[in-house]
Amino acid sequence: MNEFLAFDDADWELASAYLDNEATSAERAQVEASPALMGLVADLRSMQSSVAAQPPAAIDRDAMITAALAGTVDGGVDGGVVDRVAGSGRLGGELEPPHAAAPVMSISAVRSRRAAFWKAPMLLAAALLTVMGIGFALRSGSGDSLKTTSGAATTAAGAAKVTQDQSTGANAVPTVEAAAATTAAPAALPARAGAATTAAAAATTTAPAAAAAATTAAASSATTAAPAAADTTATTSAPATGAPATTAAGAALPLLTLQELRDLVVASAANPAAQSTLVCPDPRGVPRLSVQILWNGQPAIVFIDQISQTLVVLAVNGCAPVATIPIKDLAQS
Amino acid sequence: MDAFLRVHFDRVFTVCRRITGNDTDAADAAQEAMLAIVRGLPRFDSRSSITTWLYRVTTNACLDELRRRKRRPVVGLPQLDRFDVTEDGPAADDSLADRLRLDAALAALPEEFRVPVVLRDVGDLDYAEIATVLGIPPGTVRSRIARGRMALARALGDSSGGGSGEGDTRHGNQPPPPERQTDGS
Repeated sequence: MNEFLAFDDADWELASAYLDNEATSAERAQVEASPALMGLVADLRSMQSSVAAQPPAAIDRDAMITAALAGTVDGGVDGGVVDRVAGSGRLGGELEPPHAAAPVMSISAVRSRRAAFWKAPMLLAAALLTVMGIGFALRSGSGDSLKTTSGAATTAAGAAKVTQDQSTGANAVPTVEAAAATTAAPAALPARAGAATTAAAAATTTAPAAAAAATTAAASSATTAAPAAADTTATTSAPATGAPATTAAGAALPLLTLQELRDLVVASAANPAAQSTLVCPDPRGVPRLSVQILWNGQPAIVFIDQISQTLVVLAVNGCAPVATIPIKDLAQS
Repeated sequence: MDAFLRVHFDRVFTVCRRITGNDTDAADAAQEAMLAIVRGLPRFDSRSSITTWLYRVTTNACLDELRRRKRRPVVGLPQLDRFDVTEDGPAADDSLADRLRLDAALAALPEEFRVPVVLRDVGDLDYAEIATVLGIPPGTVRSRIARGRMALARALGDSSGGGSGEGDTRHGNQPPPPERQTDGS
């Protein structure tokens, strides 16, 4: 290939552009009129094939793809975007042919949005870990550890402020000071029959003893309540924007406080029936941060719903959501 | 999403392999690229070319990996992971030698020339798309690809015809001359 030395920079650029079909008509004519340049084009084409050839590599393709999908909470359910793009003819088994450049997303914008995307889920994860920590502590310690554990949990959760009415003693119900109110009636809510909420108004997620404080903290926005009969996908189809969702009358999910969830965790910890494996496809959460409980005697799992930004109790049998925990405004507290 | 990743994985990995120069870094970069693709796809504007966006994400992942690699100490033999133990015989030896020469020649190319060559030859992007991915004028893309190929061809010529081995390739491969300024429009 020492003959390459005979060409100058302009020749290389002509031959390279010709090879890539990026030469003008005049340049094409110039190249085609020169056997030497055509020979250079042929050599470049051979080299191009070598560069394009996929080198053998001992990589686990499936594992890498699975890891990529597992690395994001919505990796398995955003196929709508793929379908939409595919529907436009932009996707297929082969890469599309060369075409004019189109505007693409700025990488910096992607990164900044990615950072914002993970902020709320991280807070939710902290809240769930808090609940799991409470359950673990209570399972291994005494009941006196409740207050201490709750305080520590509040610190660990960062934004999750758990309040407790000291005057009510053991009956006090910690609550998340979320700005969200509820329109759901806790029809199936165990251990919290008195904590009825007010429909279509600013309401409280606390027991009556702490209602005043919680009402002060509550805002007027309604929280997401997915239909109880819906499947997992329906639950997670709530708007990602966090905008108030309409309440499905008669089908709204009961709301849990962290205290109630704690009680469930404690009650379920020693019960082998709660130690089931969630087999529901795509819980749209973070399975590694889920916690198993018994819900009305049936195994259930609590996980983070990234879209509605709540903790959701999902029945293992039937995969239907049975309750939700409104902590969507953790970031503001 | 799974099908989408499977369709594009091989091309993404090959781009990473050619840009980073070894399987280990390529696997890391490809994994990062896949994650970025999965996370970014829901917000992708489908009016634009998804391949351009995909290669932009991939290229950024590869460049990030290269920068991370520069901060890491090099341990062991850097060329070791380029051997494929599944091949046997003289033909395989030739193929392996060719791949090693190509890897060395590509690795010796400065990043600014290597990336556009890889995006063109592996990613099959046109100059305008490469310009979008890299944020440089199309004319500069044309110039860099030509100069990259020139350096690559000369390096391969030196290593195959001059009796010098692969190790000599890096030293014998002179980087491309400074590119001409072009507005690309």
